[in-house]
Amino acid sequence: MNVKIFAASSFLLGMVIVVSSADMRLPGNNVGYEPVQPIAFSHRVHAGTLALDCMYCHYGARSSRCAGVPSASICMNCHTLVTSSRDAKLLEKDLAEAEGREPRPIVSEELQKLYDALALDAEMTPISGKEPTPIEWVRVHNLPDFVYFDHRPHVARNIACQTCHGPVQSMERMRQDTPLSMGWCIECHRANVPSPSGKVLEPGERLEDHVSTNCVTCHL
Amino acid sequence: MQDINGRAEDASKDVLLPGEAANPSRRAFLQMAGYGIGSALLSGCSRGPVQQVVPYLTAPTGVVPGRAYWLATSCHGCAAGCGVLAKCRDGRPVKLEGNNLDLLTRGGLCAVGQAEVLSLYDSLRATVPTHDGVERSWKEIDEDLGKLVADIRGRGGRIRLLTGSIHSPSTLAMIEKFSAAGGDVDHVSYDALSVSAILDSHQRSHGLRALPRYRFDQAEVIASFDADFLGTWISPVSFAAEYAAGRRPETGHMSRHHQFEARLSLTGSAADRRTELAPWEVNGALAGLCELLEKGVGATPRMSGRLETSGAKAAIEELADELLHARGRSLVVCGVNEVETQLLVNYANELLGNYGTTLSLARPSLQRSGDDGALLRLAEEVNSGTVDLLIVSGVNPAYDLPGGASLVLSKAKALAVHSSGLDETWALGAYGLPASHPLESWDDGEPVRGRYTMTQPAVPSLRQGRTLRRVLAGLMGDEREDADLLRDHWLNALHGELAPGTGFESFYDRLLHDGYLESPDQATAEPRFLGDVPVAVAETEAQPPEGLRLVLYPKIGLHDGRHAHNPWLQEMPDPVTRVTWDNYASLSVSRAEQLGVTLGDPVRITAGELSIELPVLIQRGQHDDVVAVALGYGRIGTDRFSDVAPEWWEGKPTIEKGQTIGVNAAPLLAFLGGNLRSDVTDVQVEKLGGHVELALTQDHHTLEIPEHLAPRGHEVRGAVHTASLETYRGHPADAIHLPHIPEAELWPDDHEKKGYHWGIAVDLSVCNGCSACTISCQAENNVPVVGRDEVLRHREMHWLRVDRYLAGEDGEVTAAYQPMFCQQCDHAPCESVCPVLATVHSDEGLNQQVYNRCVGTRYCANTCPYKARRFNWFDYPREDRLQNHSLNPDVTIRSRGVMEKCTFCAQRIQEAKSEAVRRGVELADGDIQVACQQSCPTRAIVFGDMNDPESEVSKLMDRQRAYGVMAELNVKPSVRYLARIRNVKNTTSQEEHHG
Repeated sequence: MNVKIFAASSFLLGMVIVVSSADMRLPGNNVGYEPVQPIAFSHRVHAGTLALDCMYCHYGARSSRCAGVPSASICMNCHTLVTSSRDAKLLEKDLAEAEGREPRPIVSEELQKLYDALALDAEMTPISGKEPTPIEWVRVHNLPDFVYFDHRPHVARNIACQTCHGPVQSMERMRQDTPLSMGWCIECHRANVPSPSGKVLEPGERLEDHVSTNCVTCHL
Repeated sequence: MQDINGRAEDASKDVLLPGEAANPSRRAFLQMAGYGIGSALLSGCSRGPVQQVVPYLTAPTGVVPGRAYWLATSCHGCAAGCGVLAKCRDGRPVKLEGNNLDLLTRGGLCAVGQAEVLSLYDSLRATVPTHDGVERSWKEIDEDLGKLVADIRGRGGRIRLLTGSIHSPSTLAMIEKFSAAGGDVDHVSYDALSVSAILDSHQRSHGLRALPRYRFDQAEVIASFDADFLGTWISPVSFAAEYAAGRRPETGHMSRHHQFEARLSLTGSAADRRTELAPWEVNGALAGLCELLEKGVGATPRMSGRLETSGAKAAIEELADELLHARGRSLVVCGVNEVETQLLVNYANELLGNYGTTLSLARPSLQRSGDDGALLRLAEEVNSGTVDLLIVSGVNPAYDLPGGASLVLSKAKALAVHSSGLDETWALGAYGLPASHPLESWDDGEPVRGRYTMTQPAVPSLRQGRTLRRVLAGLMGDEREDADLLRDHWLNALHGELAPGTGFESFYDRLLHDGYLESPDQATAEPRFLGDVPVAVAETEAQPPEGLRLVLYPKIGLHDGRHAHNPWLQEMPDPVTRVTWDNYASLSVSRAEQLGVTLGDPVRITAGELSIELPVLIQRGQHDDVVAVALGYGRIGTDRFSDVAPEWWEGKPTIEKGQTIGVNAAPLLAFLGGNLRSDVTDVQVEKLGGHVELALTQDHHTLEIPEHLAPRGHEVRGAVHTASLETYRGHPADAIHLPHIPEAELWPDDHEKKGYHWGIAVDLSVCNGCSACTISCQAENNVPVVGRDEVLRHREMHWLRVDRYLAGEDGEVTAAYQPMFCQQCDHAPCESVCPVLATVHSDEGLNQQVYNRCVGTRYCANTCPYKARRFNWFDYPREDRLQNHSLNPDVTIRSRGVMEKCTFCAQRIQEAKSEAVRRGVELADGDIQVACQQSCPTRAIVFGDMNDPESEVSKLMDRQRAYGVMAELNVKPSVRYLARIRNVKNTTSQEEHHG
């Protein structure tokens, strides 16, 4: 009976869509989202092994609502010189010594994508006739349009980046680690510092030190 | 969800084979639907669409994504040249605000200035230069037109440059250079809203063709004859700021203001004594005034017998008496563009010794330099076919000059038009030279002698426009960039004079940073009065024997029509008449009765050969023998707004394709005695059939119960309180009588507000109704434009409206204006009725409106006593998508079905708090300026923390004239209005205000 065929296939189609979405979760909860990025940038190496300050690259977090994805020029502060892993360079140096020649410049596959985006050659000079093309990173942490999260007060109060972003220093690829849902935010806002409502300020205590649970704190 | 459903439907098409079960049973249908919806719901739990983040490759210095930065520049919305700060986000300007370093405007900005940011993103602006309709590059234009210019110069031909008033020193220097480079080259400037007679009269009376700089703050008695200096006259923002400085009853002096005018203007509304005076009575009244002043100061009597013929004898006598008591501290101004009239005004100011104190020729205003006589001579030259090249820049003579004496542009042998491309003149030019928008240009200005403003680009050019300076340089083979032209002029011509002995780099950086500079040389030597007094004033101005006198006036938002392409300004209600999206013929109440017309009845206004048809608007406070019509309508291309209104089955377009918004009344202007006049045309008015609905906003959203609904006669709710200065100074406690406010707490323990408690105080004494706040709010809060049809359905979205209340008997009608917005009540009725808690109270006293919770029951709007809430009946996208670039990224775009209202600029409060935390400092009073407050030219609106007894807002609220509108409802509004104090005597009772 064709109706049954349709019904069964319609259900199957639905199931396929569900299964393809890896795991079931409430709408909007993106915990575990770990999209493939155009360049396999490793937070583990940069934030973990090298222990770079998060705000060396995400400098906007200090002074702006948005932490910002760093521009390619920030990468180039180091990667003008660092063109591949140390091991690869040492290997080439040994090989060159063994073969009695000058070591060739070694550029890692991923960093080549950065230089391609900037239209730079191996000598780090612009390739004439080639247009630089911006890198289209995939956004991991994304809040709905009606939420206006502000990094500034959180950074100013020395709240560790990991509180919201998880153990970034151990992530090879960036992953959303916390729900970033309203309930999750409010939990922290309620627990840590009471809102001034119902609380008399001590002398010398600043109103700004208190955390707000007002709607307009985030919904503008 | 939608496209997932869509996919399910596609799947069903795939499965249903042709000829099989074309009509499934109801049960089968439900089964199918159930499976389909179920699978769609499950799949709906997956993630949203993947989003990309595309950072800069090389980040520009100082630009942090998400952080606003500010550039000092200046407004070119009219020739006043007010200083502006452009708020930019991610490389594009999103909001303009007044520059408080500009000592002329003191940080205010009018509605037109606010709206300039929208016209920057106008996608219909001309993109590339054209020659005979063919697109060309600037290089080709420089060569072709440059060669033509050189040819004409070579054979001694005539080149004429026609512009508006220009006060940019670098542009004027370039024009001079262009003129001096050979051939017969001349520069003529004119203003559609001409004050040429004031300049011409000073040529005769003081030997100097100049516009005085008026100082309304220095004047204790102000007499204005038909000059709307708070609305549209010369430099309304700086005039309003200075006028307001003398209108604060607690601090400083309280000026006394007489207004004589034929129609109710903003300035007339603010006056302490307003007298209706027909245009033909002005000369008689002024001559009579001079006669009384002569007697008073003991000068040689030269005026005689003029007062008896004046209809305003009593008012003039009172005025003369007051003026004589304030010699050197008074000011007489007049908006009539006739030299004889202005000579009388100069004589009056001279008799009173006002030159050098309340008006100055030593450091004159350069905001208007138009010369009507030169324009007429140019028209003669052009019409006789002897002009080889006419370059028209920044003006629209094909639209705004009267029909009869117009210059026939087609008679110029070659015509080059330098403009935005949205005007009537553009189409006539053989050469089309796109002008850059001020927000993408370099420029300077000198609105008042010795006071300089700078303009710098806030965004790279969106079009290939050029400034006039760059165009002229290009025609002379000078290929320097505009920034260099400007910089070189300052380096070579002005730096040495303004800052001798300093380094140029630091001087110029400072100049661009501040956007404003005052010359250290403050000359005070006033030119001497030469004694030219018109003893026999021209009697051409007799009362029209029959019919009416037409008075044409500029619209607050549209001016002479140059802003007609701006939807914000088209939808801004006229402050006096409250009409949007149209012009109309204003008639007095008794004249309308006599003609048998009511609101919206079309009439034909005929003057000789010309006639225009307009709907009637009945306006109290207007002279019976006058019909008033606004200029600035009927502009070409305004049918672009046909798509503004939402599309639905009952919806009507704002304007039909091929039509224009309103009718152009400029052909009815006239040249008389060599001056462009707006008040000398006698017209016949006849009633036509039919009816036009005017999109008025005054009949709804007012707080008054209409007469036919009021229970006991005419109930007045006391939204606006007025007191006389005498009463307020003598017995401040008796100044206003407020109803008993019950002290009852709904939820005594709720919302203690121990931290901040935000509030706003609005001083009605200095609010003049200019509506800058409305547009500032619109720009800041992404308030949509809804179109004419939606306004007719009472659905305009302005979060901040300016209510108008008329007062006084006929003949002395004045008006009070009251900015009305969400009052952030502590006992908010809206909060109690919301079934989904979409509007809740914050612990800082705000009624928070949470859009993502709102389900659109509209209970809150029904219960709001202030009618401050607005509902999105539709999505109201911008008709010009490029203009989305001016949307404030810090404020949500509300969608259909959501309630919205004033938030006290919650985003600004949050921003200031975040910055305070970042810097580790406490918020200080004044750190947060809400949008309406920032732009207010008179500083009538003050925002602050009511919990801080030292804050400005707390101090204002402690004044005895502070009151809450409808506080008797015990809603505890967080907004206090300060009663309007009028400098009148003998009035002990409160005035009644009518909506």
